[in-house]
Amino acid sequence: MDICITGYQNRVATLLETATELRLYSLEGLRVVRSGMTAMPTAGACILPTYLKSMGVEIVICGGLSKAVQDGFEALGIQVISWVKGPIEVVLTAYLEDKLDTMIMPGRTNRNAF
Amino acid sequence: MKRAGLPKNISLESVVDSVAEGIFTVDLDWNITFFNQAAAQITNISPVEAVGQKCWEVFASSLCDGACPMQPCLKNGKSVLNKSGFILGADGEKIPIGMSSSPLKDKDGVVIGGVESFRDLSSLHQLMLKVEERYSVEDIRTNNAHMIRMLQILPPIAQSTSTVLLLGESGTGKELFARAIHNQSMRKEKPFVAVNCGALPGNLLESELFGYKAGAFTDARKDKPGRLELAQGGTLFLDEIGDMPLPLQVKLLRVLQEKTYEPLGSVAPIQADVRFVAATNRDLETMVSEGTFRQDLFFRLNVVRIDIPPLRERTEDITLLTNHFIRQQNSLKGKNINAVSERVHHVLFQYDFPGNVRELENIIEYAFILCPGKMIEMAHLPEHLKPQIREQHTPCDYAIPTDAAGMAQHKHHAVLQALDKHNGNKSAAARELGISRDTIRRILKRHEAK
Repeated sequence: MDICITGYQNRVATLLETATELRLYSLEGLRVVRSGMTAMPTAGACILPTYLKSMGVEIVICGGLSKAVQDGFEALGIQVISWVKGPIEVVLTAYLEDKLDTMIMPGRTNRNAF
Repeated sequence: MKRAGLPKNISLESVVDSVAEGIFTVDLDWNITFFNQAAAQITNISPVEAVGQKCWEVFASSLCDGACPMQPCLKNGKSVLNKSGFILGADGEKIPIGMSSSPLKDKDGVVIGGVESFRDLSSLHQLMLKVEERYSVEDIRTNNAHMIRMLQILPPIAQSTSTVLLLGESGTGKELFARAIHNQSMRKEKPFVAVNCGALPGNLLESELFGYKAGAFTDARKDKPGRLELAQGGTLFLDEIGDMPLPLQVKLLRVLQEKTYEPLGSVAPIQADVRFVAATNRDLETMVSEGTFRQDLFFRLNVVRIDIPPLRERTEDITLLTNHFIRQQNSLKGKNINAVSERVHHVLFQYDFPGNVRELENIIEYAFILCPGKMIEMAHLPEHLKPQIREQHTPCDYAIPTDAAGMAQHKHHAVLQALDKHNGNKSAAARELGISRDTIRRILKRHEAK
């Protein structure tokens, strides 16, 4: 399974729209077997659902995102875990250990269940 | 000289808490040290939750990553004034804000943190949007699966150079789509020019589209640029293309094929660097078979075709759009209406909306004129909605239970209906009902417990 964490300077970008990099991880069970990084497409967040779908991404972990983009991901069957904060490596570990609920920005709730 | 100051029995904190602008302070490690009541109201995050957290994790604005106005304050002691951006509400709606930052210094002048003030610019933003019509894909609000899929392909379509044909009934938002395509395209800095082909007689439409040279006809005293020239480098939106007279269709076909045209009375061709977006509420294929629309022009226009469904076929958008128009009208009219009553909600759900989204917008605007309180009631709806209710439904269709048990049953029924409609998808059902997933879970759980 492939996941993407939208980043800014080694942490999860505050908003999906302000991310500068996309960290990509291929998982086998709870093990990362491959990782990579690509830049945010210049066309912006609107194009991200189709862009990540074409890369085979199934789960996106990000900060805040607008309803329109969230709907776009859901329409393509990509699960979104939103309002996540923290350093990317810590967030990845938390995801693998099923502890992402401890990494949610204050006052927010992830709109999708973990 | 006597220094102005607060009376001893008034704290600075209570003063800062009473202002309308959101204010928060941070220390040198970007941890929030103070968060006033207005900040809590705008962000929907309480001071207790905010204090001690990193400011970007609480504030979550479009400026936090890379354009933070607090950075020059903490690094160089410089103030930053009137930057604009947006924050995201919990529902994913963008809240436009304006903000300023200043350094906080101790008595020796050493920077010990920063203070940021910000204000909600939603009203101004709504007004600007109405005036400038710079709509984006995100301004097309929908919960409808077909529309969501369509919006996904809109950005790549916008980025391409292809001609787009928008089909849909009147009031479905064809011009909104056209503007969103333009504003997402490489041509967004150039003009967006709209022409309603059904609003002008053929000869006037021709001179309006292609322009004319002085002396081309009586009264043509000086050159007049056509819409094609005005749209040079940008997008020309041909609304109601199905109403264009056949002779003019031939001329338009030539522009699409050869990218050149001649204004009336001119012999020198002009290059047309224009992207065409056409729209109609008519059935062009039938018109082609009847010979009232040129087949070759239809093929030229029908490169990328977008069918916009009528509102009656996407009832899941009625709640979303109603709430959107209420927010919009609140901003424009300075009112504070929260919602529509359950009965009005039912009426809107049953109504066919022959005028589509535009009609819903008009209904809400009308209701705003009559509604003095916080809730739009039946009495505030336009008259034409009321007879329909009497004709089509028995009173018991709209009987809203008043006792707690009846209301719980009513809510449970509504949740089950929404879940059924969305194949068990709680997020979609929650969006349709305008409630959270947690509320849906609570309603279902409460019912199971009985």
